[in-house]
Amino acid sequence: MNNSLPPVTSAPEMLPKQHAVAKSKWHQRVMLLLMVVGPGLIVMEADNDAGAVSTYTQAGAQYGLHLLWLMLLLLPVCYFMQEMVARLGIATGEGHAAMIYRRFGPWWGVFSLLDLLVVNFLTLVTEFAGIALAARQMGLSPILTVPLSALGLILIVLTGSYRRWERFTIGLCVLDAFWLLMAAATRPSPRQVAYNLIVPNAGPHGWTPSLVMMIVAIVGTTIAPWQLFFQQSAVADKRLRFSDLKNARIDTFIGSVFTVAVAGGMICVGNVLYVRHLPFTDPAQMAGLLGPICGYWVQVGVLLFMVNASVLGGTAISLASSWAVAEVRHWPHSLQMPFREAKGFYVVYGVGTFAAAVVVLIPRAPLQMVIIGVQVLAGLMLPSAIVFLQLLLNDRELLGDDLVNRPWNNVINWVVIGVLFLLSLVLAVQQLVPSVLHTA
Amino acid sequence: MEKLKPISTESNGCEVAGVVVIHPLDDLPEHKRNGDGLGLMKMSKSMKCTLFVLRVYLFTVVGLAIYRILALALLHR
Repeated sequence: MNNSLPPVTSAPEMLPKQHAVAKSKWHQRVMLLLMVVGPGLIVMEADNDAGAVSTYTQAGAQYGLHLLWLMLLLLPVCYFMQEMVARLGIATGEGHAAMIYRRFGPWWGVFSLLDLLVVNFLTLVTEFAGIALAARQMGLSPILTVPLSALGLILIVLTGSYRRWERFTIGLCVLDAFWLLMAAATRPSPRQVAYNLIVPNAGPHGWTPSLVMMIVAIVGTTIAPWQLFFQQSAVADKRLRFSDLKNARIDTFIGSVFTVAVAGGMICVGNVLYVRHLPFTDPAQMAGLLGPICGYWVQVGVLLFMVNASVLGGTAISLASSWAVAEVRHWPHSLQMPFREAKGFYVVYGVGTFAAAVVVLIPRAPLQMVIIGVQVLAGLMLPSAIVFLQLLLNDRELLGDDLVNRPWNNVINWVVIGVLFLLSLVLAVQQLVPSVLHTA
Repeated sequence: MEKLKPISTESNGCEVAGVVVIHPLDDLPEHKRNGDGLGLMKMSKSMKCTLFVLRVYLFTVVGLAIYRILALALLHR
């Protein structure tokens, strides 16, 4: 032990039961960072869910590596959006839904909550659809795998410990690094990867309407409304302190880099089929095509990590909904609480999860309609959620001068909001009035 | 070596060489700025304008959705 360190002296009974002693400043920083890491990493990686696997691999299969630059461009956007949420969560100790309700009144509060619940439920259906597709491709019956997955999703939150849930979920996030191995196995040209990462380009066919729609889909997949609600509630549930803000930012940055890298890996995997001109409709079918080209382990890997993506997305999205409902209804809501102390919170989580699983198991359920519905509603929700976030982060009365956005922060955010508004409108028009873009 | 500050001021204790590091979940609760008693946000002109634009956007998208549903319904008659 280093004797040059100052002893910390006061009554031992004042210390909490669980604490650690750092032996040096470096040790202290690392320990604190490890204690704080979680919400940022999870929210980012959970966004690489079943829908994202589908979108990114399709982007790779249709445009090769030409859209990699978009991922690099989205990295700071992801970070800036989620950093604001982390800051708001630490400052207020409350979730996003509760703050919208409190500061903007019941109309906007109810609108935001309902919109979130509907879009989250439909997204959850797509997560189970991803599990069903992967299971079927592996020769397993969805009748068995989908309810089992739903049960697993419920059990991981019922431990009465935020830490246990977080460690398990971080484990799932880390497993996603396997996408990078699979991308390496496809042997993309490093020169092409580097060029397409740095130089924005549209590929050999130029800026076609379908390319614009793919860009809209990638942006919509990378930045989702539920992420804002999830991270703020997770930060509040983890009871992050003002002194944790710096580490929460590092956590968010690590998550942004990791999620963008994994998304890039998915694009590289899809690129294999672009090079060979092999079309596919869903990632499970893509896995079957990849087997003979890249090896059986890549085929199995795509299917297993599609299930991983669905489970990760499922738990995060369900929690975003249950936290939001419980915050607005003033019900007890914490993963630290056992079921008997936060019944409403856990019931919302469980009912939503099981209902989504049941929808997937209905024979001839209109899953394609659900996927389109998710895109449209997420597009509708995203600009409004971000506008409220931006307004809350400029609320000096609430946050004080030290935590409100800086002017440069606001300039970046308003540019991002403007672009997202435009892209969401394009998406909505394309989905709702396809003839307009078709004619154009 | 630079002096180390205790991490959590209220709960540092017992004679140890170093700094007590406490997980946020084990630490004492902090006073948060959650806006209790503040009521609704005071709206400046630019904020009112932003929310107006948001409403127009939402009504436009909902209008498009209704149009699409009606068009599909007519198509399947």
